[in-house]
Amino acid sequence: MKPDKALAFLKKDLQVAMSYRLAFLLQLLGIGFTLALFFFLSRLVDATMNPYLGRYGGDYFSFVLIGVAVSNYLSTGLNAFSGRIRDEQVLGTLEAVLATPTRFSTYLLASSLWSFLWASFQVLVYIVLGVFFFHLELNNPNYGAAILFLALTVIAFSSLGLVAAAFILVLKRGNPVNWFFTSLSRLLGGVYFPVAILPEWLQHVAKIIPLTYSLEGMRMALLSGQGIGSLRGELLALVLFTFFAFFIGVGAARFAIRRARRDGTLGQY
Amino acid sequence: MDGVRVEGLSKSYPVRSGFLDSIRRPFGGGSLRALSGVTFSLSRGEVLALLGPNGSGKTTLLKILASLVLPSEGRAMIDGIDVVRRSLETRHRIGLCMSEERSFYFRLTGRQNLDFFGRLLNVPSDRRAAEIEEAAALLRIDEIDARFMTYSTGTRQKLCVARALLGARPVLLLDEPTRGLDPYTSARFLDRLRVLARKEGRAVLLASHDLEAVHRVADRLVFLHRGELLAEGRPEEVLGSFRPPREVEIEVRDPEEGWSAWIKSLPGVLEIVSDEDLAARGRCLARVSEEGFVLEEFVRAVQERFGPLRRLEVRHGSLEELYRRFAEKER
Repeated sequence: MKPDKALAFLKKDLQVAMSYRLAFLLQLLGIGFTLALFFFLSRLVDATMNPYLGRYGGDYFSFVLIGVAVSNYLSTGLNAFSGRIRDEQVLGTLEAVLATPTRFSTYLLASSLWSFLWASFQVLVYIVLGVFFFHLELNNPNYGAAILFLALTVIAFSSLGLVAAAFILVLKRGNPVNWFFTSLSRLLGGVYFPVAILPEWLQHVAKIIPLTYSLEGMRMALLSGQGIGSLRGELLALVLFTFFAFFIGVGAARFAIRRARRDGTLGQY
Repeated sequence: MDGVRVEGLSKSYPVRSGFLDSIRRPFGGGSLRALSGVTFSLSRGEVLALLGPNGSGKTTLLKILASLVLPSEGRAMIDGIDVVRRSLETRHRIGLCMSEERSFYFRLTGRQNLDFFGRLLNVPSDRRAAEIEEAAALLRIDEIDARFMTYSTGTRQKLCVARALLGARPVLLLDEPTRGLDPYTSARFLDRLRVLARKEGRAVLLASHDLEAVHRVADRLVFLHRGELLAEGRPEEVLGSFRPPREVEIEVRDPEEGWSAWIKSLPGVLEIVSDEDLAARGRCLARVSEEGFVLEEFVRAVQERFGPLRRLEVRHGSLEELYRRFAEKER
């Protein structure tokens, strides 16, 4: 990806975002409300669920904050590419952009940069507000391991996002990839409660969801200070998933763009 | 050097009735033929007009050249480079204006939009602002710093044309660029196109329904109908052969009294439209028949009687009539 094209998209997206000032402000306020909601909920939950939360330091607020922050990347990775393509199809700009000397891969990455930066900014705000106003406590955190898990999570879900983008290019509406992974991951991946709460058969289903490994790795690294060595099982599962998802995602996107060009439906929605 | 070359270009679009149909028949189903074996070339320094009624394949042809649509058969080249195999290189060489007026970001101003597309077109930062100013001045985009969503249809079209001019591309692909422009801006832009072609050696492919624009700027034209190339040549040759004269205006040096009545008696002349005052000044406007009138015989007869003509102007029927004739010819 060429840096000047990435900057062009970033500047444009910032200009568009700034043109919706109220929405920008409301999103920031929304983070504060979400934090407050989980803070008060944690007072109730901590007293009753300690057996399940013990391995994560026993603090529900810290547990759920990491869940919400990582699931933010899940949504961004899954939706950024497909959402951008869909927006540009509706706006009528997709063909105009792709008629410029810009590779499709560059377009996808550069046009999604803003979404990832915005997601990162939101996570940062979650953490800062959590530390200063809601007593978030990280116990001897292993930031290196956490960053590795986060990077793999972003690549894994972005790869699935490529498959979602392929669906949008071909089918225009109706995106089973996003629906499946978002619904299933939020329910079974351990965003709001530990996977151990689930019935045993559902815990087996949770093992095929990459978010389960992302969250487990992130929480153990940040809340229990565990390193890569003790998290190698989760790491291996996430690496394998990321590897296959990446090649499937790239293949699907290539197939879809070729098909849309063949059918003349690139700009249709 | 050929700026554009297409050889045996065909395009069929698959016709599917939805998701289930594409699952049931991934490779089958019907198809819609948009282009059929089209071959022509456009040299650098030349303006080629692409004429044809709606659905004749003009937009498909331009989209293939812009790498937005893949051809089914044949080849298309920009500056000798294949648009399918090396599309990134060909996209470096084209300035594109499609007839889609919504192809900008509504929340950004015209200038912000052009700056964004200028970056994607690799226009160097030290030239970008100047090029945007120049295009805005040429096309008289006074609202360049207003948001795109506030623009009128004509101003949106101007911005589309301005984008095509960014980066001094050697090949310009323009789909109805003067649609919605006021006559003054349209004339200025068409004159600029001539300069870009003749003096700067650009190749300009101009799809249009505007016959005045075609006459004003095109060196050659191709006529497409239902995806097939029906005619190619200089505008007066092609339009003359397919679009017979409907009115002829002449001016002679020494008119005789009642000479217009003699003109009316010539073969193929239906009626004299001009009045006696005009006839007294040696001028006559005659409506002529599509079938029985032969321009060369008419001019020879008039010149034998009155000497060399001071003026001869042939007015053709409308483009709609031309399209109708093609349709009738096909039946």
